[in-house]
Amino acid sequence: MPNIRLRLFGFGPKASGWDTDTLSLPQDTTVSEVWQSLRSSAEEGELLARIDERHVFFLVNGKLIHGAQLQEAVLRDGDTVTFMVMAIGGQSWHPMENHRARRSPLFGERG
Amino acid sequence: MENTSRERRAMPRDIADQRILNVELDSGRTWVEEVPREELLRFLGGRGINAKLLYERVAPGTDPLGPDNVLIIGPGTLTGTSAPSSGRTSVTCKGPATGLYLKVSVGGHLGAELKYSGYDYLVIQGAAKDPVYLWIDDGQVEIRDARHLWGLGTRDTDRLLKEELGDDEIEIGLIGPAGENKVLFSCLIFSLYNSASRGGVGAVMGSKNLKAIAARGTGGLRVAEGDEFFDLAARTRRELAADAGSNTLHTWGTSGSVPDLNEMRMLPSYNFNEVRIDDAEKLSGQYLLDEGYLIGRESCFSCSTACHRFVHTKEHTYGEVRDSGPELETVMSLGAECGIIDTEAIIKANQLCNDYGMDVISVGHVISWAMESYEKGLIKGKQADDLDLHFGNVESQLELIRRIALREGLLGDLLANGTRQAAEEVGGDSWKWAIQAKGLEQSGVDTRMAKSYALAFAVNPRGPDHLMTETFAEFGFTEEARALIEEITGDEKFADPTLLDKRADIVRWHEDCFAATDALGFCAFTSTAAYAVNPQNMAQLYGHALGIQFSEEELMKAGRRIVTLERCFNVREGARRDDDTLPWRMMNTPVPEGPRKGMVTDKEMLDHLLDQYYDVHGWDLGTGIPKRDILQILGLLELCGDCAAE
Amino acid sequence: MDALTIDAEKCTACKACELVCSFTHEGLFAPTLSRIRVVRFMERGLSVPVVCVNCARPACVEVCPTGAAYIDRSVPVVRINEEECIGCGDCIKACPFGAADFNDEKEVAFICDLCDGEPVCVANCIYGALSFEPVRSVAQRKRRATAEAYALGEHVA
Repeated sequence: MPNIRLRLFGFGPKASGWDTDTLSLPQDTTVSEVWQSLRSSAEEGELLARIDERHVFFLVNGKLIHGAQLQEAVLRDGDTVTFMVMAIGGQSWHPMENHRARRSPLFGERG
Repeated sequence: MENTSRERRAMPRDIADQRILNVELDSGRTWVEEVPREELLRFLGGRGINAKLLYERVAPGTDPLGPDNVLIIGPGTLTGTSAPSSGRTSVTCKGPATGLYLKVSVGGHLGAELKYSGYDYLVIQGAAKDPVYLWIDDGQVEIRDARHLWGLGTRDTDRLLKEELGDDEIEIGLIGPAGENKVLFSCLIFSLYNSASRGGVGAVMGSKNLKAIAARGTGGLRVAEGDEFFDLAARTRRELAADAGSNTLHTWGTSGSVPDLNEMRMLPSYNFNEVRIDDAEKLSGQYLLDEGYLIGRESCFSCSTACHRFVHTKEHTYGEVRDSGPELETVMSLGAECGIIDTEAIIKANQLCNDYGMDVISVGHVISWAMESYEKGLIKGKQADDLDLHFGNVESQLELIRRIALREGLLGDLLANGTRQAAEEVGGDSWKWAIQAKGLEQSGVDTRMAKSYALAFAVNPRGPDHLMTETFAEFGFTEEARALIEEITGDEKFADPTLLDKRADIVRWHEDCFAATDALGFCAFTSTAAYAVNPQNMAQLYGHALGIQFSEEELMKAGRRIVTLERCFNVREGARRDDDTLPWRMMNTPVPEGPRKGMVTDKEMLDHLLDQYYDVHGWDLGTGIPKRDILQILGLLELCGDCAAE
Repeated sequence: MDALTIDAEKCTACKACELVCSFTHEGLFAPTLSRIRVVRFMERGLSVPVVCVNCARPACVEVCPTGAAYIDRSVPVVRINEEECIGCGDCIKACPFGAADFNDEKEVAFICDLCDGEPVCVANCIYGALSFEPVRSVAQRKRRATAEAYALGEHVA
């Protein structure tokens, strides 16, 4: 049973937050399978559940994989799998889904 | 109602009727020239015309800090229109750090204001006897006394000038004390938040005793095919907004990519000794937002992306700061490269560079070089000005930034000349960890593991960085990037930065596109990081603006013409194939860890890449000099024939 | 009544609004002829678009000596008839918001006319600093935001 390290970035309440876990997987588990399993266990409305896959970086031991590689990449004992919310380009991201930089004077001004 | 300013008002004009304002600082003489339409079509405008003017007016061997150097400020041809993110300006001169061609790009709002005041290019030659500033008031030009401003930081100068001229809506380009002290990486600040950073343009202004350029303009710009232009511009703006490359830049800024880069072991740290750093997310744009440092996002003229940050410190550990930045290169060079991951510290360091007027990439790398030299015992005691220069020492870094800007102390003065000269003086092996080539510090891309970047950096006429040609697509991070690589090379599989194949084709396409992007005034983020602006719609917008049919091929050919002309300038200065090189560490020290562990771009690989590149360009393989027949094809024989290879 | 609403926190001073406005009304890219103008506070990183707020009883119309400035009830919006405007500038002096300005070349005043109901500035403001919605919706939205802050205990009455 291969043990892998799972790292998630940007899926938590903070965009700059990390989530790390160790998983014990069945033999020949692929990256895609880990991702789907994670997604299905996430709560409805959570970013992990609703994010478009095109906004996610999939890394194995720091190396970027995409497309067919996701189904082909079989994980071995000691591998690190990282899923990161992409901040270098991507596909259509809703433009209004950004975050206010400044709170309005009514609720306390910063700057 | 009597309008006493009617005589001074700049008139509305056609965007293709381009005018050059020449200023001779010794005599105070100013005169206006027109740009012939054929020249505009050949060189597109902006960077292109700048390059031509520089080639014609700066003879080989000219001292970059002498009066015969010429400083040319050229907004893009579409700057001032509603074309999205078209507000960029090219600043061109002979570069003090390298002694070679220097084009620097800058955003903000001054470029547009210059055009509204009636001028498309500002050509400044000679040197004033005492500090002066230029005031361009709706067409009228004045050279005014700046002695009371000399020595002041950029922020105070901006404020005082606006008070003095009685208008807080004027746009200003200015230098800080670093430019006055001719620090070889001093910059020219535009509209406070923007910087023509690299290679020492600030020093060129300082050497001319020119403190600032202020402009105000009310003259409008007309385009030939108004409705078509307007509609295409609006559509392109919306397409750009939908591109997530643009969106992530808006949300998290350029430093949003820090965690991704770090995780992929692509974040240069400790003077390129490492490729990652612990707690890198503290350097990220996400962190600035989550932790409440970010209090505003700012744009350049006509840009809806708004990648600029505006921050406010929280703990005020190193003093309270409200200022623009930090950017990705900032957190890399002043942060990871110096072993510092303290957000408060980086905000402060960035503010110092903003106020003194210095390029953060060079400042960071000059200090990280000093830190490595110190830790290796090559700089010590008196030579270190009694500073503790271990990696990670924030206080020393902040103090050193001040000393460099003011050329204070042995070390401050030494480092103010850049790593190439500093390493020559300090000696030993220190040249090996001077991350520079041609005299310019390299920007934060690991050129051991990204081969088209390696090639682009090696052949960049101004030195090794990504701001003449950014081949971002070779990483293949997104579908669009992979599609572009397929378009250029025929196969998506070449979207792999570790390959040596097809790199020259990738570089050449991006060179052409980037040159056209600059010439028209577009931000490279729209055409090489996002792709909503591309050669096709750039050509269409240009065509609608001028009222002509203009194809993508013509646009890219004009881009090629500009790149080749820039090459000729350097050839004339004596640059050859040997100068197209990379920092020693990139060629000799393997990547220490990660999926690309062990990689370098050694001499053999570089030679292979250069051969490909010169071949694709039609330049002589041995020297890198453009051949006569390619100059003929590009219509450059008359201008540049004297430096052609046979 | 529909109103142009400003959310200054989202404004980044791109000036796209100024460009598309001046082009739509004057056929020129000339921010000084734009009906909407962005005012910047550079030391605070804050930018605020300022435009005609479409008063129900506008001062500009009241002071106009020739009746060039009038309310067009069909939109509704204030309009300036360029032929009848004598360029006295009284509307500019009377407007408490600085929303009226002067065209030096034509020698007439100008004011936002909401582009007859489809303001181009709003269409080109990508991140939503400008919106065009019924004034009652603005009130409703702000009431809810205030109430939420109370409900979450973020604001002490």
